[in-house]
Amino acid sequence: MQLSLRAKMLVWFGGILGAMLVVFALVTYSSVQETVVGLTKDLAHEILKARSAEIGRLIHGYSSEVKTIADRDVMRSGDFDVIGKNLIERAHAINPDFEILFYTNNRGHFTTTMGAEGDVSDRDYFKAIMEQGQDDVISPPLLSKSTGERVFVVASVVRNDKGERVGIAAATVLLKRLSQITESISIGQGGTGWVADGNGTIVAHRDQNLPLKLNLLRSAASGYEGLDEIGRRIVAGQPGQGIFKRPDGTTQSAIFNPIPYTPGWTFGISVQQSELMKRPEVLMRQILLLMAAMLGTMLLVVTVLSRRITEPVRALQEGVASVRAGNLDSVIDVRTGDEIQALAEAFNRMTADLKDHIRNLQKVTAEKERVESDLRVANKIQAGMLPRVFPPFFDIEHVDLYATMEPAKEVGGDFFDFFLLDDHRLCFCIGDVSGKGVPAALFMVITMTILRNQAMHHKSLETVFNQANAMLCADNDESMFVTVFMGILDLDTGDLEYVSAGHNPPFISVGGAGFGRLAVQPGLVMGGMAGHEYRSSRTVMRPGDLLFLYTDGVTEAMNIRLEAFGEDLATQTLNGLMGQPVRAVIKGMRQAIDGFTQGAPVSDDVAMMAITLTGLPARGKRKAADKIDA
Amino acid sequence: MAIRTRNDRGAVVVEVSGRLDAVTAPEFETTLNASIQQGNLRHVINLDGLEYVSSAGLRGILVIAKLLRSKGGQLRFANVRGTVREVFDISGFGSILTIDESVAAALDGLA
Repeated sequence: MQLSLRAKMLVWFGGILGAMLVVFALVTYSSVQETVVGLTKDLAHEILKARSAEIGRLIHGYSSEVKTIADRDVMRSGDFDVIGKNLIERAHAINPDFEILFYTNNRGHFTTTMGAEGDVSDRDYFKAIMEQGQDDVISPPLLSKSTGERVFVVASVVRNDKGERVGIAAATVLLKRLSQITESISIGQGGTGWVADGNGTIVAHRDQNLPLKLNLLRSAASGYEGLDEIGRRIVAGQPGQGIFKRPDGTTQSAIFNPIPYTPGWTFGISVQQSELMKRPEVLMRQILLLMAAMLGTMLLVVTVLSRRITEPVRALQEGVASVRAGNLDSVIDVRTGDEIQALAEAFNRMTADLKDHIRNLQKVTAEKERVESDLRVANKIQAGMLPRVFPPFFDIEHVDLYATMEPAKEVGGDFFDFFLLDDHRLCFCIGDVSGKGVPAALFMVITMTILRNQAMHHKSLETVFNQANAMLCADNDESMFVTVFMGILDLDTGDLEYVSAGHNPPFISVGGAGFGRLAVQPGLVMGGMAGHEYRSSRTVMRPGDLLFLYTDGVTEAMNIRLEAFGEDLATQTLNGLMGQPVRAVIKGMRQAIDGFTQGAPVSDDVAMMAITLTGLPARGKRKAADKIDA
Repeated sequence: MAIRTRNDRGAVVVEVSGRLDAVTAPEFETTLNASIQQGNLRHVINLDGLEYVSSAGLRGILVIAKLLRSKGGQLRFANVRGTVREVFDISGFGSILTIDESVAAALDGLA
């Protein structure tokens, strides 16, 4: 995660910045190239034009000088010998650019400042002046007939006083001299100046092997590439520029311009292409270096920054891992003064809270376990309070009794009880405390205790109920109450006295007939209101009669459709169990309820009790015994 | 369970419908308690729409009845019918609570 976050930042910042810099560099490079190279070329061309003009003026100067000489009286005299002497005398004073001055008569015979004589009647410049009527001529380069040097001739017509053409005054200029002049002209660091004549022949060049030997039009034969095309444009007298390759492989840029006052001469400069591009390339190198430096700095900043961001994140991660490993005392120490510190602090608070919560949870869990264990104990105690021995009385065989209680929770509010008040009176009861769980169980214990005590002390069942109610109402702030049905059955006579405190009337089967509700005087639930007067009822049970007591957990047992078992179904079930022993009756009822609810959750305690007399002892025997006791 | 209260002839008429059991009894108690705390001492509880009352529901009724009795208030029930009536009778609540045929009769009965 740490690496990837840093890598992401590097990729994003570095990538975007790098791409931007590259685009910027490319745009800059191309515009610099366009501008600078163009500017350089334009500048070069301007320089070239100026230089061409300069050379032109120089040659024009030569021409004027020769013209002045031609106009001299001594020349106009036409006296060959005098002119020859005059030339020799003047030899030391001639323009140093001139090799020699010479004069020819109208037949082509010449005499020079060196004193040499000869014939130039075959020369084109001679013919141009003497035969074609030109006044001034600058000749193409040629080999001097007097010195054998490569020269060009500047010639002017000499007229006599009548204006007739009597001869030519001329000067020869060494091509070497022209080469020296052109050589001094350069562009930037390098560049070679040269002059080509109207035929495309190089006439002046730094390389002394080239003049008069290289013709641009035929340059391809000498190993040049592209120079012939330049030559064609030069021969056509156009100014311009072009690129060619030398035999040594270097690419040259040639810029050229016609020289004025010359017979179709062109001045040119060749510059190595790389030389021309030197300045923009230096500029570009600087820009690239600057950009690389910027990119490097940025990446460095991003790296440092990402480390500063990821370090605390990593610390946070380690802290979380430590907590995850169970070390809740782990504290994350991040002091960046930003959101990450806030996060770390929030995490520390969370860890502290978590610790508290876990402690509380442990406490609560322990408490819950303790309560549950208490409840299990309470359940045992409660179960222990209910009679568990069936059949209950060894010595009394003609009464049969069976009862069960199943709480919905660990401890319930339903109860039953039975005990002998004396040797022939059986007291039994069933009850249901409002509510469930511990409060109900506590109230049930109190109720059972009070009822047992009261039943032992008072002959009248009504008194028992009135007293018990008064005791349960006292300090009953929770307004809990209990429904109780209690009966006292005389086992000798079958006489049954009973009272109901708000309890469901039991079912009874009399004389083999179907079950029906036992008629009761409804009394108020116990604990409900102090001062309530309970009324007892009486009936007689015969052998075979069966009394079935129950709590509302039986009739209100619900199936998943929330339908109640109900009194009708209870009555039918009991009728179906007619004649069975009490234990079988209760088991049968239990099965009927289970069959009805089909596993739906039990919502209420279920208590049931069944009592039947199997016979009656001889009345006389019991009465007699009573008398003896009395 | 749904419970609605309205004022009628200087008494609070409480309409209780649905099931009054362990789940709903607290709401019943809270509503009536609040009404009594506001100083209403005359209540008529209309059980016309009540389908079922459990022992927890009876306890709630008992709590309210005792509270009103201790404050010298009056409480009458109306339209107690069917299984609810049966429960009232069996539990003896019928004998300690004042039950009228209708809300109007209950209101008439309030002194």
